[in-house]
Amino acid sequence: MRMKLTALIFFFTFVALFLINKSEELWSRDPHNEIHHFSHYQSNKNIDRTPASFDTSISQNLEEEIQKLKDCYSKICNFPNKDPRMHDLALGQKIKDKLFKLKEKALNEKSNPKYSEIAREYLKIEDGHVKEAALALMSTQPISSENFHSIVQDVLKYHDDALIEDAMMELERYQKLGHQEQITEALTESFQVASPMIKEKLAKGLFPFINEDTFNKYSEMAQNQNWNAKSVKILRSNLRRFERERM
Amino acid sequence: MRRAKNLVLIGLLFINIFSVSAFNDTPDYWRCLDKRGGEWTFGRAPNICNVDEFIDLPMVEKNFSESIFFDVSERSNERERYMEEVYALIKETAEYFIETKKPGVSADEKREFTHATFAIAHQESYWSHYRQALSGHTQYMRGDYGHGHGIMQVDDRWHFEAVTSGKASNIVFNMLYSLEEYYSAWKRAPSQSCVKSETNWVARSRAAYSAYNGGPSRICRFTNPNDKWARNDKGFYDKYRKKDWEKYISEKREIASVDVTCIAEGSENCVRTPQEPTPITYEEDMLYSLKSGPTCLYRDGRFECLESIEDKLCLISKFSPSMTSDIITALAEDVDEEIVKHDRHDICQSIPGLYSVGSKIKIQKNINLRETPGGKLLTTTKKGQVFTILDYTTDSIGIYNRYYKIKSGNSEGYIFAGTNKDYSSWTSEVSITTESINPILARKGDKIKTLVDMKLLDNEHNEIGLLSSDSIVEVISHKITGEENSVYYAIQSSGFSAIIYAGDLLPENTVQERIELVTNTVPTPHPEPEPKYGKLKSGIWYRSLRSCESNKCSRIMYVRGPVLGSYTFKIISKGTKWSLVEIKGKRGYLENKDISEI
Repeated sequence: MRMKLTALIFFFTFVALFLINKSEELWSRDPHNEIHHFSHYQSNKNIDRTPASFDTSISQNLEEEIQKLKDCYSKICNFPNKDPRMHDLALGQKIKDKLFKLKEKALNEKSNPKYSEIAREYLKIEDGHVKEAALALMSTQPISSENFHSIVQDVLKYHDDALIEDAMMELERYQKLGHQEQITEALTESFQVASPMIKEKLAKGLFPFINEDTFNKYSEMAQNQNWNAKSVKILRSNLRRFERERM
Repeated sequence: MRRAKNLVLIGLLFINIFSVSAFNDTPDYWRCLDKRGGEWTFGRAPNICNVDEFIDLPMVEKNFSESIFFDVSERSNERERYMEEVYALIKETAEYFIETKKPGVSADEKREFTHATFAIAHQESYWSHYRQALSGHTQYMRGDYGHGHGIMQVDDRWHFEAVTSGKASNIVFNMLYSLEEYYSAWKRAPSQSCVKSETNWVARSRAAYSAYNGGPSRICRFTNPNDKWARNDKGFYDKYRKKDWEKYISEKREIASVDVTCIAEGSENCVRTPQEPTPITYEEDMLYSLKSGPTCLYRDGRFECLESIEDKLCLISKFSPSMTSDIITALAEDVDEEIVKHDRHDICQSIPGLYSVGSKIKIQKNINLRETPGGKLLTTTKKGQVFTILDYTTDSIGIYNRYYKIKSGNSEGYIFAGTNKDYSSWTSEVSITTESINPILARKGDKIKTLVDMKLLDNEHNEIGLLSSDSIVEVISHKITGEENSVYYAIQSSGFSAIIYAGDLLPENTVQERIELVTNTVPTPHPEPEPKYGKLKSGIWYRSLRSCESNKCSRIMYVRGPVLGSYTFKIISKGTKWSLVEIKGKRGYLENKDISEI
């Protein structure tokens, strides 16, 4: 009896370790290499709507799990509820975990519009942790106008300064692939109404977006702001840096 | 059996290490030193703990001295004084906030939003934040078993970063941070069935509070008297309606003692000084802020100016050291007088004992390194350590407190370095040759390699040629100028000499993106292996440089791939899955599969 029990425990332990190793492997495999599509985007700046094979086995379950969790925002589920915010915040953490798992999976697959749809849906949730994971999921996919709109509306115009660096990094892809005008408009508009903390992060991340075409726009933006504000000083510094590095 | 158990335990441990959770299970009264009680009255809600666990105490006592509740004073008079000040502070903060978020906001909306802010602060903390108990030590309010921080009760379990960064312990940032969530719901409320109209102010305020208190999805909670948390909505409404704070305020001041805009926009010397009327003629030895921005000292019929208000003490020290006031008068109109714009590096050297940017200093006692001079504690530098000064800032006229910006490991921040009297007991300048650990700047005789194409400049910084990437040249001298502490090297190589722009030290160090210091090779019996270099593989947009060997570890910085202008980095060591690399002076881990060795 004792021998059988031991064998059983060994079996389950090895199954558990095997699964853990598998999940670690997911991290180590080559990620989805979206720059293979680079030439496509240079010639056609629209969205990649190519349907891709969508492995339903893991992600379908994950997606269903996430959707079920999302329903908990409109009712009380089995999450701690000891203080008024605990339920929704714990729920957000759970969704965040699932979205990061989905990101791991997406990194190892061809691009799939479904992932972008999910990312956009969860960028709308007013919880910075959920948004962080949704943005990470979005970063595994090719750029699209819908995704761009979502980054602007649901991250740049949201109030969590911790997300700005991620969003600006993601926007650099759009800049590189020819969406400069929309980015300049979105950044100048966001800068006008952002809180000081967000403004500072926007100003810090602005340098890659300054070039001969945008220099005057961002200079104008700096002129209409409080001269002594830290964010405006950083903005002026980035503009001067561009002038000094200009070849 | 025991072995199997061990394996299961190892498996479980493994899972736990890699579980993702942003919830911080901070214990009750976490980092709550010298906890003291209070009472449920305005300004004295229980409990209080030391504020210097999170931000610099002198910064608090300088800027917010009027917003501290002093237990030693006669209670009712002190409460009245405190309430009048905090009333003005909350009002200014709420108004600043909504005017920033909604330019052109109506007077009605501004008034109603401010009213709601007064009520939230009442509901959350009885307007309690800073308090000095009889011990004489300034502390701040920690409610809900220590998890709620300050006037708006920022929770350290869910807003950990806001607490550790010092936002929650700074009364202005505490409110601004919290109002972001309230305003988000305030904007959304009119479209909800429980509010319906923008000007249904009571319902709008209550709905926004329900969402603020219970989360965005609970915006109409206040309409459900049976909700588990209905008592919170009732409590808020009760305070909103009764405005009990008004009972303690004889004079409703419009202006707080500290300039809220100044604090909110990143300065740390924001105590208001009496407003001088705009003069028709300018007074000698007075500071003015020009309409165009710069801060100037008026002397001998002209304005001597520096770009940044933070450098006002440099002007005083240079042009009028006997001045006793650093009040600045803002000028609304352009001036006809001569304006002389100076370089801060030329002017600030007049401050006694202030070391220049680029100098190397040795720490004379353990000193805290903070993100900003009075902000988040990053680490503590140890006596004997040597650092390069990346920037400086000063405050307090007459004594010239100074703070140096330095880099320690992966952290950049400020250390306090004494006054004009005792600076030598805090740090001392060391010669270049005695210490050469992790040099940031090249010195005379050093060889440098260019990492990008660079313009060759003459003494007036006119372009005279081009120096291509990967050139190795010798440094003759260096100069640091301007607001960004820009580094210029005079260089020579095979018969030519010129100046190159090496990069900036502010707002971030870009020198290491443009220049690499070439180590002088001294023959040794066991020569070090040639360092390896790498780049992200083609096809990768960007990756995170991690603080340890897992994708779950915190991100130090983003590393750009080839399409976004990748950096070459040094590979310090290579493991089975991860490599330790150094990029732009920061060390961290990248996955081997993402690296292409050069």
